[in-house]
Amino acid sequence: MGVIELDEIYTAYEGGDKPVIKGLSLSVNPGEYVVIGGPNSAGKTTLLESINGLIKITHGSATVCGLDLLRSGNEVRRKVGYVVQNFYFDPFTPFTVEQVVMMGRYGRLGLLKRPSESDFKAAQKAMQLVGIEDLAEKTIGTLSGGQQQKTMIAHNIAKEPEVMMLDEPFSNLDFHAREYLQGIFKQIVRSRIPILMVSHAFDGLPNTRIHLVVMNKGLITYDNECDAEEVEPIIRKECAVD
Amino acid sequence: MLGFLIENNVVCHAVEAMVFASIACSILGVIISRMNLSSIGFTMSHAAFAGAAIGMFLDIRAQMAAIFFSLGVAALIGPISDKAKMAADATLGVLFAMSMAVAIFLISYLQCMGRGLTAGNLLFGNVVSLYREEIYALAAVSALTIIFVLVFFKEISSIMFNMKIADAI
Repeated sequence: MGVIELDEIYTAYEGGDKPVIKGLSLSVNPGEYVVIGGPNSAGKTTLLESINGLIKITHGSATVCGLDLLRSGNEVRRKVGYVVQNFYFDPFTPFTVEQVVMMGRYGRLGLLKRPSESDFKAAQKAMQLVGIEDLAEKTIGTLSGGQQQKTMIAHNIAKEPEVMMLDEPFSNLDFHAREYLQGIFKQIVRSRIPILMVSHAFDGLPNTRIHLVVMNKGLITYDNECDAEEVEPIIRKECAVD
Repeated sequence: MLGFLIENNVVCHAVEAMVFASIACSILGVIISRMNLSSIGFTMSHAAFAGAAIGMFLDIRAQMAAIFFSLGVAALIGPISDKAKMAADATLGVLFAMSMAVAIFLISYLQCMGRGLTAGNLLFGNVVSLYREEIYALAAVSALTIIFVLVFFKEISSIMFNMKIADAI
């Protein structure tokens, strides 16, 4: 059984009259590098947010990390890392990079518990891995978009998730930072943690087999393994873009 | 409590009330402004205003009516924002206008019926006419605020940072 098992799921935003995802099934195994592609408004972000229970599944069944998503949404979110697509931190936000990375541990800690030495060590390790340890004392609102994105990735690495989901993680990053982070993602995949990445930038994908999922209008139109260099041509073909 | 510093009992009560109110307001003020919910202050004060007017109209304790009506309005903010897909600030604006309308209507009605009541008295009260029990109630509210923030500090700080990211944690 996969880490993620979605069976004929439908999801809709609260108050929405039509489902955004319609009868979607997907299976993700440990250590898979899943790339989710497709045109704008295909439902890619909605799929990620359905997997960690941020958007309610109205029909179908879903199991994530061995938990029934419909019953244990909070438990699932503690085990799933999610780097969100759009974030804006105002320049006066008082939180430092170190505090933001530590927040990644809060779900694991649970209610009423204070971070321990091991939590501080995990946050420090995540900052070192992403290369932002020298920014630890700076407030996040004063950083560049790329540095903020790295902080959010470190925040999710500190969480020590069982599934890592990334929504356009390279949108603010230069080529050097992209390649560096792809290296980190490869390490994560090697440790049997699956990565689900929504992206429109396919340069620097790891030289492993990619589980490619192409979505269009809330449906999966392609779901198969391929090599890294085949990702973009397949997405172009599936989306009829030449 | 501050009797050893201020001899005049009336002024002493007023200063004690202001100290306790400022403790609670300063702590909650930081949280509220970081969550971009600044309008919650005047919305809740006017909800209490409407609640007190309802209490006077129904001849029940105005203080209790104000507390329950305010809690009712506070409980509506989230569900209305979610269902109507409105920003919380817009919902607060709607609830503020509604509370104000209820309060003004009832006060005008009570004045017509010959009840000596002014909007100013009901909305702002009078800091020099506080009873000792009311000071204790304010002290309890301040203590509860501090305890609440200390106990849930990590949850509150996550929400203050970013609501969506806090949801995903």
